[in-house]
Amino acid sequence: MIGIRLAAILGRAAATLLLAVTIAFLLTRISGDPARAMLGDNATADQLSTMHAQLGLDRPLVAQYLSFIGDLARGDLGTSLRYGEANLDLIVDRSTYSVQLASVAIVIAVLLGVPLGVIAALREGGLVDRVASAAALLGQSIPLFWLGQMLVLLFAVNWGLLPAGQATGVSSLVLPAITLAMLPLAHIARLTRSGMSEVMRSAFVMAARARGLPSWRIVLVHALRSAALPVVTVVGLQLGVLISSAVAVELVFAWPGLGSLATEAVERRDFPLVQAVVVAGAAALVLINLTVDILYTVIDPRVRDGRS
Amino acid sequence: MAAVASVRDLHVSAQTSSGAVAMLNGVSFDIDAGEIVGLIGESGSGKSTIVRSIIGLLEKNARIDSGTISVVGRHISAESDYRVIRGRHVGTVFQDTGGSLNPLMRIGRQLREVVNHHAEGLAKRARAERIRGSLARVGFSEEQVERVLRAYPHQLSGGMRQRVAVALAVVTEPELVIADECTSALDVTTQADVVRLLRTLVNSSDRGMLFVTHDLALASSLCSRLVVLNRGRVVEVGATEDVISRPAEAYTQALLAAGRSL
Amino acid sequence: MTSQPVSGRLRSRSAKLRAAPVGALAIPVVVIAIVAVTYPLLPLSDAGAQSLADGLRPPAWARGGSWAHPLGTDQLGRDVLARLAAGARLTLVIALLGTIASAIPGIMLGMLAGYKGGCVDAVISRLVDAQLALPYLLLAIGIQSVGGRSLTVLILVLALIGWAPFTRVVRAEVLSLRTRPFVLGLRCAGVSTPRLLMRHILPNIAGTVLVMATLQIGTVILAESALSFLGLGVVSPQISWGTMLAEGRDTLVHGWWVAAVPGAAISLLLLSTNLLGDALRTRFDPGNKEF
Repeated sequence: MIGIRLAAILGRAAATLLLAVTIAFLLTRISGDPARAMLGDNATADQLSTMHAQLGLDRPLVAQYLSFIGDLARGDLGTSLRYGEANLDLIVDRSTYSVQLASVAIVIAVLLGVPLGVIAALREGGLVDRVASAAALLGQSIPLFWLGQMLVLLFAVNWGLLPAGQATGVSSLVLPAITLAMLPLAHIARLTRSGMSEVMRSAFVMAARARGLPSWRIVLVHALRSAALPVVTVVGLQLGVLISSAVAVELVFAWPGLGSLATEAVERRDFPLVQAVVVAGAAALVLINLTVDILYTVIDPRVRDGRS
Repeated sequence: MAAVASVRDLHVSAQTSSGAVAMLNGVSFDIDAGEIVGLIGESGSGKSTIVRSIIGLLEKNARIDSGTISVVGRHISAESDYRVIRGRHVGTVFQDTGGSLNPLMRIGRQLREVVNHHAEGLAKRARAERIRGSLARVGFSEEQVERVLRAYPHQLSGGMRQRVAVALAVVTEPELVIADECTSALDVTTQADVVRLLRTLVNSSDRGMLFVTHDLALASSLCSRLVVLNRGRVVEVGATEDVISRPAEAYTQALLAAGRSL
Repeated sequence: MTSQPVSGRLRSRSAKLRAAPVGALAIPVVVIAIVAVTYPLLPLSDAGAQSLADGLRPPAWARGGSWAHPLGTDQLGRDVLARLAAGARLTLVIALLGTIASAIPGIMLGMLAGYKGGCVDAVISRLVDAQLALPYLLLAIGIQSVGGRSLTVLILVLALIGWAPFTRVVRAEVLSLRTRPFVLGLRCAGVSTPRLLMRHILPNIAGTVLVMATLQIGTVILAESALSFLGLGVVSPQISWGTMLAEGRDTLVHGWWVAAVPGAAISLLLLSTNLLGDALRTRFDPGNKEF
């Protein structure tokens, strides 16, 4: 039973990835001429056709698409025109930095957000609840990269407490990770709060209390597990959003991750690399969603049996 | 005969946007050992408020203004008292058949949890026997018991889930069992099964039961005494035969008439 | 006395409390909109006027600042306050256009998917999944790097990143509406599908759509400012709050206000729209949970 479900989840993930990549392929071809974008407006017709040939853009669209997919299947994301290396290698290289940053950020967000949400739910209307609501609202309203800049100003420039950027060790992780964590923290806290609130009002929690079970047990063992489902969803969603947020934040902190690779690629008009990063980003997102789906199956026995 | 539980002159009110609203107005009744008392009333009459007051799970905006509640001779006034009686001396079965069970936890674990909390003195084997015993008592055969222990709530039928809920309520051998509209959501056959089961729980013991329902006919077949509630007030209380044959209040007469015409 | 279930009355009380300041929450947005619209008439210096001698003057309350430039000047001597007011225009216009451009196809597709079901629904839902699987900023970068930095491309990109959430939400609502008696009645009466969708279903989902749109404005503004910050969104000499942020990148140490001011403005605008969206959500469905 679980096997069938897992196969279905995997199948769906693969289909989504294929479709997403196709959309990306189409959009980047439709929105203009990559060759012209790379060479600038002053390019001559000769230069353009040479570039077309080099990028394989002179073939019919279907042929381009097929070789694109074929390359992807073999793990070939193309070659960067600026670096001259395989895009895949570049991406993998820089990914480690992004993964580092993202993991720390999401861990901060979960470690702070979940307890905040739980306390806010248990003491509805209390101080923690109101502070958490306000903080969540702020987290959703402030542009992350701007927040990063302000933090750099305060902590690095004015007070000299933390480095302003570059991956030079643990202390340089602090500011970028905190900045990136703000938005997920806001959403996770909000969703934990509403999830817990709803669970605490449910019939089985009241029945558990009527059975005399102690409050701590009801909250930690019963309620939290039920509330875990929407929380897992939002953590997954936020990780996906993180991929986009990281682009600007990495720029602010000169963090050598995938995000800054993307911005560099754009600045250097390296179309194959830009395309490769988009594909990699989509793959990462699909992987995250896949993990969330699998976790759901693990956590909720009803999902395992094909219900709910 | 000692009263398993007694309620005296209970007043409960709730804070709403338009001020304080009275939910119970001087409710009094007793439940003796070995008897099933029926609490009848329409929705909104205050039946669940009475149940919630006895187990101390009133909504956040409601409070007990005055009156006394005592269970197994213990005067209940503070949260500490409730903590002593909840689950151990009072077992409650609710209406929502599947809803009173944690959907993410196996039945066996939920039963063990209750026993572990209330019966720490018992040895491990004795606890396991208690659990099996309670499932047997609610009508599961030996092979069924194994399956039920390992199952998740959604894997059982509605009737089986309700029997598990009853087992969870009585596994600690409480003196008072409250059945709060626990048959209302069931079909007629299952309803009859559950009612029969509830009767056996009280017949052979020093237990008392409060059977809460809006169905007067059902209550009169099961209960030896009836308490009729209307808008937070007790309008009728007495032995079942008396209440049915010589209802003192117009409201009770109307209820009876309605029941008969159906 | 106890004629109404107590919990019902409680909910309506908190709903009333939270619905009251909806009007108040709209005020900052309205103010900004007014500034944007009336900008040419306002007594502000020219947003584009450069004066290198006046470069990087701090805001009026800081040391070295003056009320001639209440919010300071940037590295080219341009008045920050004037640029803020000028930038409000483009920022708001882009926000509105971007939201509308994503809402319209999003709603249409959502209605189609929810109402028709079957094959149509499957295809649209897969498209939604695929769209949501593409990291929005990377996709935007990809498209803009090829398509150029014109306003049209920007709006199209914003539409592209915004349509899927609308479709998801609308589809869910229409799915539940479809089985309602009044819809079945209309279908039996032979009402054509387009008419049914536009005249009867659309008004019923208007509340949800409005809430989504209000919250989506924030997402669009953030996306535009992120893109402009990266050098991809709005192109100078046009001014938006996003481009101001980009300009503030280089002067962070010596001219913090150049970046701080537009960022604060964006935050304020977003705070209002988010609060407004939340209040609207409460007004339209008090029993709704946070997300």
